[in-house]
Amino acid sequence: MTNRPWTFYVQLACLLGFYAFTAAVNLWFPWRAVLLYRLGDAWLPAAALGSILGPVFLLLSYILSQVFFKIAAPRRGGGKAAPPMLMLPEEAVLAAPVLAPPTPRFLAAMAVLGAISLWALFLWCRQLYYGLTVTGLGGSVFWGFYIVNFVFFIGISHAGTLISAILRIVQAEWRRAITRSAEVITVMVLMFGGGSIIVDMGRPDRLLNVFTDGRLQSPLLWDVCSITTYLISSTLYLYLPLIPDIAIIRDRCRDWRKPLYELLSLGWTGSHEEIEVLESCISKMALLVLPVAISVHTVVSYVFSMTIQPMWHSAIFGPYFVVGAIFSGIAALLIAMALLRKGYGLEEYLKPIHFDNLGKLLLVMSCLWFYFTFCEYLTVWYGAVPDEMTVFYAKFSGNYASGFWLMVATCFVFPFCVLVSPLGRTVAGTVMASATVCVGMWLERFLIVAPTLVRPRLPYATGVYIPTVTEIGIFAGSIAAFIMLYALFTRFFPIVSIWEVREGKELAEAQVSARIRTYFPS
Amino acid sequence: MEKLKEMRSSRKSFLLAALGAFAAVFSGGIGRAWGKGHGSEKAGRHKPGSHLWGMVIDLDTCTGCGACVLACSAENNQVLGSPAEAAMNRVIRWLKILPSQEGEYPLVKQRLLPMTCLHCEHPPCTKVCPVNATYRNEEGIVGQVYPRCIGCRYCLNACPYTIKFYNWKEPVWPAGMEGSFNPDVSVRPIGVTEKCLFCHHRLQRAREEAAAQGRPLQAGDYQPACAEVCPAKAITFGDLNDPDSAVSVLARDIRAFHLLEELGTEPKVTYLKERS
Amino acid sequence: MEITRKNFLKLGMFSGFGFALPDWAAKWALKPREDLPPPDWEETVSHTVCGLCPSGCGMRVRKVDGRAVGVAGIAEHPVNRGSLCSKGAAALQELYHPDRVKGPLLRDGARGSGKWKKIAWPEALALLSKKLGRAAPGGGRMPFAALTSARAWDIQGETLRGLAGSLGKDNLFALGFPLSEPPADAYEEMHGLRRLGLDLTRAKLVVSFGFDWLQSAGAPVGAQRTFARLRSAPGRERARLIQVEPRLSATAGKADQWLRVRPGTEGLLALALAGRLIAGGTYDKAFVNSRCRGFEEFKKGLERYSPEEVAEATGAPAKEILKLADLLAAGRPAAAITNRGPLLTQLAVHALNALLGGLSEGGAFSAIADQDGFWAGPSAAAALAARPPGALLVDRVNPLFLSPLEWKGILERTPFIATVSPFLTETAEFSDLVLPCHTPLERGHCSIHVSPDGSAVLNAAVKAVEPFYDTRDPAEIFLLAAGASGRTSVPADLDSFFTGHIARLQAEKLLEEGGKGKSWREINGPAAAGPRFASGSGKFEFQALTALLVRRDAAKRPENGEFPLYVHFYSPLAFSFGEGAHLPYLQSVAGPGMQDAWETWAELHPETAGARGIADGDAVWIASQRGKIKARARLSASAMPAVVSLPVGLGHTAYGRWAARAGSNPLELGSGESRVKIWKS
Repeated sequence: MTNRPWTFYVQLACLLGFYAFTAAVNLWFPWRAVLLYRLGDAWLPAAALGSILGPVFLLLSYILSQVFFKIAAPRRGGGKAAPPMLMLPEEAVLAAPVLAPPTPRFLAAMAVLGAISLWALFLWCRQLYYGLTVTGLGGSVFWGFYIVNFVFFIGISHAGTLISAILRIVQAEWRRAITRSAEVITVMVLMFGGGSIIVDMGRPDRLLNVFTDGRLQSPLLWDVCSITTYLISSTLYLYLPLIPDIAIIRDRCRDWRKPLYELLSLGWTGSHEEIEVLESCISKMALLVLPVAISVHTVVSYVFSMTIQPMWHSAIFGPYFVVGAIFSGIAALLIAMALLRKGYGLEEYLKPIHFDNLGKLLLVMSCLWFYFTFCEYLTVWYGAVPDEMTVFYAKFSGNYASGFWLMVATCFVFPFCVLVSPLGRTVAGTVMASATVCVGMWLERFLIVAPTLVRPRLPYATGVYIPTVTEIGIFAGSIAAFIMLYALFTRFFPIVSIWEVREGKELAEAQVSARIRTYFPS
Repeated sequence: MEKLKEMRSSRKSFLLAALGAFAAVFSGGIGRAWGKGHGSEKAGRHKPGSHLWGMVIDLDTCTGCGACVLACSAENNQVLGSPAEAAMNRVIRWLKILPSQEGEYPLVKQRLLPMTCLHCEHPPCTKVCPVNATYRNEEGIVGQVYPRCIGCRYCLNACPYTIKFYNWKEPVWPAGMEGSFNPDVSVRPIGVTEKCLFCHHRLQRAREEAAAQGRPLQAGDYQPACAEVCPAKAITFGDLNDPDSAVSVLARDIRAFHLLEELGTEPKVTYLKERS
Repeated sequence: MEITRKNFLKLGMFSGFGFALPDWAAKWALKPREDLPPPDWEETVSHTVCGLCPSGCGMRVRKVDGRAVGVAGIAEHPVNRGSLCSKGAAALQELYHPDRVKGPLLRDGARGSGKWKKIAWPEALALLSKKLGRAAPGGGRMPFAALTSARAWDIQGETLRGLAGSLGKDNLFALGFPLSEPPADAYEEMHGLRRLGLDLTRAKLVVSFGFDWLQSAGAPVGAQRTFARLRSAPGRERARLIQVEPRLSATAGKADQWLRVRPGTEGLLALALAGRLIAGGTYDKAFVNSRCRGFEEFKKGLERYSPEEVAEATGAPAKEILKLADLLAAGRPAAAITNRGPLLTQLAVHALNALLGGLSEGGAFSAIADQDGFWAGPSAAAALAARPPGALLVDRVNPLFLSPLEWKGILERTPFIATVSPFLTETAEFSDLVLPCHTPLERGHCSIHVSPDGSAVLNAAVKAVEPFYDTRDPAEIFLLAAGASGRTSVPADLDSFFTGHIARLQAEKLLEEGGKGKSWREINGPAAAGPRFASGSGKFEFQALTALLVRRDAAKRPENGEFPLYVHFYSPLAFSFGEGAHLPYLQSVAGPGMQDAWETWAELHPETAGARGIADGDAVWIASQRGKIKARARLSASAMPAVVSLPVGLGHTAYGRWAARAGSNPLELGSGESRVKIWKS
C-alpha cells in the first residue's frame, strides 16, 4: 500500500464515504420503519422507500467499487510514467474552451450573470432576515414562485440524464456529441431545484429536522429522498463518461487545475480493460438512472396530487409531470446546445441533424403534453365538480386566462407549427420553439400551483397572488447562477465528449452495420 | 477472465446480502403486525374512558358578534394585526367569522359562520407534514409543535378548510404589551405554522387541577376561551366519547352538519343549521 | 465483498435492536414534545367590572405575579353570565396600550398642535381648580360645563356631579351615542319620560326600524343574550324578528325577514303600518281608548301615508308593507324598536308600540326606576352652542369625534378645556390640560347598572391591578378639584368618599370578598316601579307626531341633483360609542359581513358603483354638503341601490397609534346628513 500518490487516498476516502452513506441509507429506513411501527404509526412508507432506495444505493456503491478497484486501484505507483493521452488535431476545438484562457466576452458575460446572482443572493439574505413577508404570498396562497421554480427546475433537470440514458440504451449513435451537455444541465439545475425548496422554507435553519424527525408518510419526504438519490446518481452518471476526457485534459493542463484533474481522472490510461469496465458501468448507470429520474418527477407531482385540493388531486399528475419534465428538459437542452455551438464554434459536432432529431423528440413531447393537458381539463370540465370548476374557470376564462392561453400557445400551438415541418426543424427554428416551451412550461407549473390556492374550497379565504421583486429576483438569480455554473463547467471540462465521439467515429460504423445485419434474415 | 469471474460472484453475494437484510426486516415487521391485529392504530387512539374533544356551534343563536374571535386572540397571544398585514390577508386569527351571502334581495340570506380548526378525525394536514410537527393526539386534538415546524406550509395547502396560519414575519408587540401575554401559551416565532388547539393549555391546567384534587376530569372543567366567552352561548364544548354530554347530544341533533362533509375528514366541530 | 457481509451483520443487529426497543424510547424519539414547563409563578384572580361600556359586566381578571394576563366573564354575574362582548374581551389591550397618557399634560403651543409639557399632578390639579374657580358667569356664557358619558349612577359620576354642583347649576351634560340609544326623544314627547324599560324577551315579534341592535345596542352582551333567548330559550316559542333597514346588517342577516328601505324613511314605513293597523281595526283598542290622547287627529294625519305612497318614498314594495302589517296584526305581543334617529322615525315607531299593545300591562315596555344616573338630554351640543362655557371639563368622552362639525365650534369658543381620559383622544388633543385617568381595571368600582329591561345591579370592586402610570381615578381628580375650589363640603379624599358610599349602599360585603366571590348585588327586580306616563295628561300623547305629520309632507322625497345618493351610518359592535378603534384586536372583527378591517369601507350596490365606474376595492371619495371623506368601495349585491353605507368608529386623528392610522370618520359628513355623492379617487 506504499508509494501510492495522494490522489489514491482521496479516492479511497471518497469510496469509503460513499459506502458509509450507503450503509446509512440502508439502515435509516428500516430503523424508521421499526420506530414508526412501534408507535402504531404507518411504517409502510418507510419500509417501501427503504426497499427501493436501499438497493439503489447498494448498486451505486457497487458501480463505484468497480470503478475504483478496476480503474483507480490497479495502477502501481513508482512505475514509469504512462504516455500522455492521445488527442487528435481535429479534437482541439473541443478541448480549447478548457485549455485556452477565457475570452473577454466570456468574462463580461460572467460578470453580468454574477451580478444578477449576487443580487438574488442579497434578496435571499434579506428574506432570511425579514421572513417570507417580503414575498407576495398571503391569505390562502401559501406557495408561489419558489415552489413553481422548484417544479420547473426539477423538470428541466430531466433534460439530461433521462434523454441521454434513453439514447444510450437505444444505442442512438447521434447521441455522442450531446449527452454531456444534457447531463450537466441535470446536475446543475437540480441544485437550484432543491435550493428553491430551501428558499421557500420558512425555517431553513431547521432543515435537518427533515432527517431527525422525518415523517416518511409525507410526499415531501419522498421528494427529499428521490431528489437526493437523483442528484447523486446523475452526478455519477455525468462523472463516469467524463473520466477519459479528464485524463486527456490532465495530460495537457499546465496550470493550478492539474491536481484536480489528476484526482478526478483516477489515473486513467485508456487501456482496453479500463474502457471495458467503464462502458459496462455507464450502461448500468443508464439503466439505473432511468427509473430514478421518472420517480423524481412523479413524486414531485405527488406533492400536489396527494392532497385533496381541487385540480391538484388528480391521478394523471404523475405521468403528466414526467412528460412535462422531459418536454421542458429537451427544450432547455436545445437552447444550451445552440449556445455552445455558437459560442465555442462546435458546428462540426453539434450539427443540424442533432437539432432536427431533438426537434422531432420535442414535437412528440409537445403532442404528448397536449394530450395530457386535454385529458386533465376535459375530465375536470365534464365532471363539473363545483370546487374544481371554480379553479377551472379561473384558468380557462378568469384571472389566469391570459396565462393559460399563453401556455397553450407556447407549449403546443407554436412549437407544433414550427416543428411539424422539416423546414422548421432548423437550428433557429428548434431554438425558438424551445424558448417558448420553456416559458410555457414555467407558466404551466405556475398555473397548477397558484389558481388552486387562490380559490380554495371554502370561498371565504380567497386570496390574490402578485409576486414581489424578491421572488422574481431570486428566480432570475437562480437562472443566472445556473447559466454561470454551466458556463464555468465548460471551462473546466470538455462539454462534448471527446472520447465518445472519437469512439463513435472509429467503431460505430462497424458496430452499427454489424447490428443492422442482425435485424434481417441472414 | 479470472477477475471477471470474481466480479460476478461478488456481485451475486452483494445482492443476496441486501435482499436478505430487507427480507429479515420485512418478515419481522409483518409478523408483528399480524400478531397485533389490524387497525392497531385506531385501537390505540380510542382507549375506553379517554376523551374525544369536540365542539358544537349553533348558528341559530350565534349572532356573529365576534366576542369569540377576541377571546381567542387574547387567550392565545395572537398577533395584533396591522393595515399592511390586513391588506395582504396575513392577520392570524385562529377563530374567524366567515361571512357569506346567498340569494338576492328580498330572499337574501347572510351567514356569519365562526370557524376554527375543525380538528378532523382524519386530518388531511397531519398526513402531509414532513417532520411530525402537526399530529392528531390521543384525545382528538390536532396539535402543532412550533419548535419542530420547518415552515414548508404543506399542511396549510393540504387543509381543505384553509384554517391553519403561517407566521409570515416575526410577530412584534410594542414595548410593554408583552405583559398581557397569557403565560400558558407560547408566542410563535417567525416561519412556523399555527392553528387552533382547542385551548389545549386549558386542558392541561384542568387536568392538573383535577389531579391535585384527586378526582377525574369532569365535564365543564375544560372549556376553550371561545366557548367560555360567547354571550349567546352558541358554542358548546365537551367530550364526544360521553354519549350523554351536551356536546354529544347536540352533535346528533337533526340540524347538525359539518363543513365539506363529503371529504370524509370527519370534523369534530359540528354546526347546527339555523332554524327557519 | 467484505463490506456487504459487514453491512448485512450490522443490519441484522440494528433491526434486532429496533425490535427490542422499549416503548418509552420509541416515544421519546418520535412523540412531539408538547408539555409546558411547570409554572413557577403566583396566580391570583380579581373580580371587577369591565367598565368599557355602561353595561357593567362582571369581569374575572387572571393575574400572574400581579400582572393581568387574562380576562373572562364572571359565570354567576347577572349581567353577563360568564360571557363578554368583543370589547370586554379586548380589555387587556386597553390596559397595556402603549400610547396611554402617562402623566398630566399641559398644552405647549397652539391648540391641537400636539405639543405638550409634562407636569406633575399637584401642578395640574392646582391649574384645574384655578381655571374652574375663575370661570365667571356673564357674556352669555355658562361659567363651567362638564361633559361625561351617558350611564347609570357610579361613584365617578357622583364626584363629577359634586364638582359641577359646586360651580353652578345645570352644567353637567351626558353625551350619548344616538346610533345606540333608545328613542328617548319620542319617549319624552309621548310619555313625558326620557327613559323606559324594554324587555324584548316578552315579545313574540320584534320589528326593528333601522336599529342594528345586535351590533349597535348600548349593552352588547345583553343584546346577544336577548337574541339567544328570543330564538331558542327552552319552553318559549321562537320569536320572529323583522328588520327594516337600508343595509343587510348583522341583525338583518339574522332576522326572519329583512325589508330594505331608504335611510331615514323607516318612520314612514312605521306610519304606513300604523295606518294599516288602524284601518284594519287590528290595533290595541283598549289601550288606545283608555290611555292615549290625540288618537283621532293622528288617525286623520295618517291618511296621507298610504302604503303606495310610502312604498314610493321608502323603496320597499307596497306588497311587502301590507304583508308586514298583517304579520304585526297577528303576531302579538310585538315590539317595535328603533334608535335615536330622526324625530319622525322615533315617534312613528313608538306610536306603533301603542297600537300593538306593547305599552299596556305585560307588554315589552315598562316603567324604569331612575337610578340617579347621568342620562343624555335632548342635545348637549345645542345647549352649549347657545351658551359656550368658560371652562369645559370633559370626562372620558370624545365629542370632537362623535359629531365633529357641531363640537368644533363649541370647543373653539371655550377658553379652557380640561380632558380626563386614558388616551389622547381628538378632544384631549384639542384641550389645554389633559388629566390621564386609570383604565377600568386599575380603579375601584362602585356603580349601578341598569339594563334595558329595567333590572339593575350594584357592582362594587377594588382595583384589579396596580395603576401602570402616573394616572388617577377620575373620581379622585374631581374630588380634589372640588376640594381645592373650596366651595364644597364633600371630603376631598377618595378613600373616605368611596367607603362612605359603599357604606351607604351597604356594599361592604361585596368589597370584602376580595374579588373572589360575589362583587355584585341585584338591587331591584325587572318590574321596576314608577309611572309609565309622566305627561301632563297622564296618557300616551300622539300630539307631537300628529304635529309633525301635519306640518310638512314628510313622505315627500326631496330630490337633490348634486347629491344623488343616500348615506346610511351604522355602528359596528367593535366600535360602539365611537370607541374601540384604538385596540388592534377589535379591528379584526369590525366588519363581520365584509371581512374588512383597518380602513373605512363603503358598501355600495354594484349598479350604483358601476354607474360611477367604481369597482370593488377602489378608493372613493364621499361628499356631503358639509364635508368629504375617503373610503374603500365594497360592492355587495344585497346593498340597496343609491345608498352608501358607512361604518362609524374609524378615522381618528388621534387616540393612539392604531386608531390614528386607520380609515376616515363618516361623521365628518355631518351626522344628520342624508344625501351624498361619491366618486372614484
